[in-house]
Amino acid sequence: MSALVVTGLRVAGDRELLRGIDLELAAGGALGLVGESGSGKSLTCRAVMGVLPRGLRRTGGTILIRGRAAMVFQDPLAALDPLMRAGDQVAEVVRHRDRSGRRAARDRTLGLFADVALPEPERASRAYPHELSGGQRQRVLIALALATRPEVLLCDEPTTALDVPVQQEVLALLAGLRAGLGLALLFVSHDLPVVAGLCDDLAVLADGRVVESGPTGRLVTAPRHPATRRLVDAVLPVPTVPGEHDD
Amino acid sequence: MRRPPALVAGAVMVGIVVAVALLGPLVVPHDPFLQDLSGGLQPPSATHWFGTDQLGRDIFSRVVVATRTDLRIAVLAATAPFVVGVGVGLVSGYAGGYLDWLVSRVVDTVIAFPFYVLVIAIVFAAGTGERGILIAYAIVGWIPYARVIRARTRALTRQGWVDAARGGGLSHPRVLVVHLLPNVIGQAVVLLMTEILLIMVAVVTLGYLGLGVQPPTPDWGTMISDGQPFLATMWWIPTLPGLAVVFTGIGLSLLGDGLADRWRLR
Amino acid sequence: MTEAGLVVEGLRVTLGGREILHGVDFAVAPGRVVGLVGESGSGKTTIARAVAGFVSSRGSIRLDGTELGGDRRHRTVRRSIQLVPQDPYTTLNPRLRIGRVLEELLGLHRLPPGGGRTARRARAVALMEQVGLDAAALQRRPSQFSGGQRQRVALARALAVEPRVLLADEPTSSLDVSVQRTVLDLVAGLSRDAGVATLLITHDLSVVHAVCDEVVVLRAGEVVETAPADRFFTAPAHPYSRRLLAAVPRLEASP
Repeated sequence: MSALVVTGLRVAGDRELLRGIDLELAAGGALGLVGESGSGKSLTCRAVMGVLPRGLRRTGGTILIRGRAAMVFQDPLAALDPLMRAGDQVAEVVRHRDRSGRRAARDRTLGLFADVALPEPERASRAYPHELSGGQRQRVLIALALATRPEVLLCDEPTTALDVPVQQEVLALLAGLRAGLGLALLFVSHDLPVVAGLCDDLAVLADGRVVESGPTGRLVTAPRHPATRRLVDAVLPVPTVPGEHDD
Repeated sequence: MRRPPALVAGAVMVGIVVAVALLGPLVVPHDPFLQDLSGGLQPPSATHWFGTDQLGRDIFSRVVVATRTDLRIAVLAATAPFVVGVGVGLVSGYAGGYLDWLVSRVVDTVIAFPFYVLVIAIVFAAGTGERGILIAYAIVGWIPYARVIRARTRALTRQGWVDAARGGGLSHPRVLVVHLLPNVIGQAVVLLMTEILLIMVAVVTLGYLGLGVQPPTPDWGTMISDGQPFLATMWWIPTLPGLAVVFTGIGLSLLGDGLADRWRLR
Repeated sequence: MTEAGLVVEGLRVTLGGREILHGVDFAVAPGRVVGLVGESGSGKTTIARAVAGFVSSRGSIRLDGTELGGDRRHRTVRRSIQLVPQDPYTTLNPRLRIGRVLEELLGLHRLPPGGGRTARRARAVALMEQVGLDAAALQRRPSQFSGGQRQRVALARALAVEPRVLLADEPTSSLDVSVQRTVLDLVAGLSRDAGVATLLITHDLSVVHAVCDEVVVLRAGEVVETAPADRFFTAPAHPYSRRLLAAVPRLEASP
């Protein structure tokens, strides 16, 4: 069963930017979308969400989503209203989605903040975005996405702006949500090691097309397409410290 | 590079105005000062293209000769504020600190007053006519340039290339003139076009209030205000000088827009 | 005692009433590449700006044994320390052709010595070739370059004045992964060849592993560990260093 099926997706502005994208994301699965900048990975994500940048339009293809999709953006500071408390922003979405009262929305917001492992949910809900750290903001943004009770979470470079240790925490959170809530993840990133750590399958984009796709392990060990090979070769290795226990 | 149509149209219109200002007084069909009380208030005809005013003077010749007066005042009155305002804005935005604070307070204070009230007050104090207008603009006219250029310079100064120029060993004046100025001057020139237009309108307004160019020197403002009582019956007396103002105004703003387009970095 | 390269001791910087750097010590020898790592907000960029003289600081900043302090009025002092800033899109003056920028700097410092206009032009072409661009690039304006090319131009501009210290602030963080490696190799290779003391600022340990000789770990305005790169990656001493290392996403760790 598929959570998301994209067939022949085309998007154009002055010229064609997506030239027939096919993707399939299994329910509860995690699909990584990788490629160089300008390959169309972010655009694909936005097209699926239905939020194309001004001047671009969908010119073909179908997008089938089972249930609801929500999106997590790269820059959490830009995606949050600077003049509204974090808790109020999430509660607003909850009230709209659940048609619930003020009280119920508040309780569910605090629950969501606990789900995304925000330390001190009460305090975080009263904070304005600029009072939170980058990692905390990204958690608020994930809570905001979860408030719509999605089946598919679209993540557009959600960890790129974060420091490495924080990045790792957010990735662990996404993996946990996937396992705990059965969310399907479509994860866009230029950072192959990050995607590879989270996703079972990868789709490599180049010049508006999917040039290679398959299980993560196969793609990173035996890349076939030159674009995939370039991405794999560009990864700078870091030795693992002996005796260090990762997770 | 492709020439924006606004730039071409504006340049042609302003070119016509400048040509008229330079050559017009040499080729006018009639003496603009010659009164003919028996031939006053005539409608436009083959001899008097724009008709005659209440003193029988040829309106076309007066409009042509006034072009030189009005354009000269506007350009002169706009020049000093342009140079001072760009200089102050550039240095203030680049240096920051106490100087910038001081400039910003002065700018804010002057902006708090209605512009025309200030100009009228200064012209009243400094004396009517061309001299008063030039003094008034020298005192308050630099403010808009300083404001725009300061903000732009301030934003650019935080960019890496300004540090790099300074770090490469260039002196402050050189960074300001060679590196920053070309990046901000475009906005100042666009503003200059608008300001020349506003000054022409101000000269017209001051003329209307009796504070502008003094008779008998022809000037569009005094011609419009003198002709105003005849608007209902003899429309050409105030309207044709008015059209000269409108033509010049459209030319200047098209030129300003065109230059802005041209200088915008892709 | 002769002291070669850049030595920073007890560097303190206060910005907006808040102390950002609380006494930072490190040294970069000529021809060496030292990686300065730390999270955002730890003060990495402030260190670079203080050493380059763009923000005022307390403590000692010495170059080949000479105290620089906060006095950067003399252009030969400023010239000896060059900063390659992080953002390739604001690093070049949008109005000026690259050749004009390089020739202005070369002319100001009379480089190459005794050479005239022709020699300067030849030097500009040589600089372009050093960073892997062709001579035609000199005639172009910044908007005609990609991010990676701009970073190369910024490097050429820094090297033009023959600095003794190069400060590279996240020079590759906004570039595509496939371009990162070439720019990094360029920075490291050129500094080693020219005997320039290079401080490479990054949050990315894979970058440090690829090109650095030594590592300085910064946390909240303080240096927590200084170590040769090979020791840092095999036996990091400070718990924070170990945490940073453990958090690096690795391709091998994929499921």
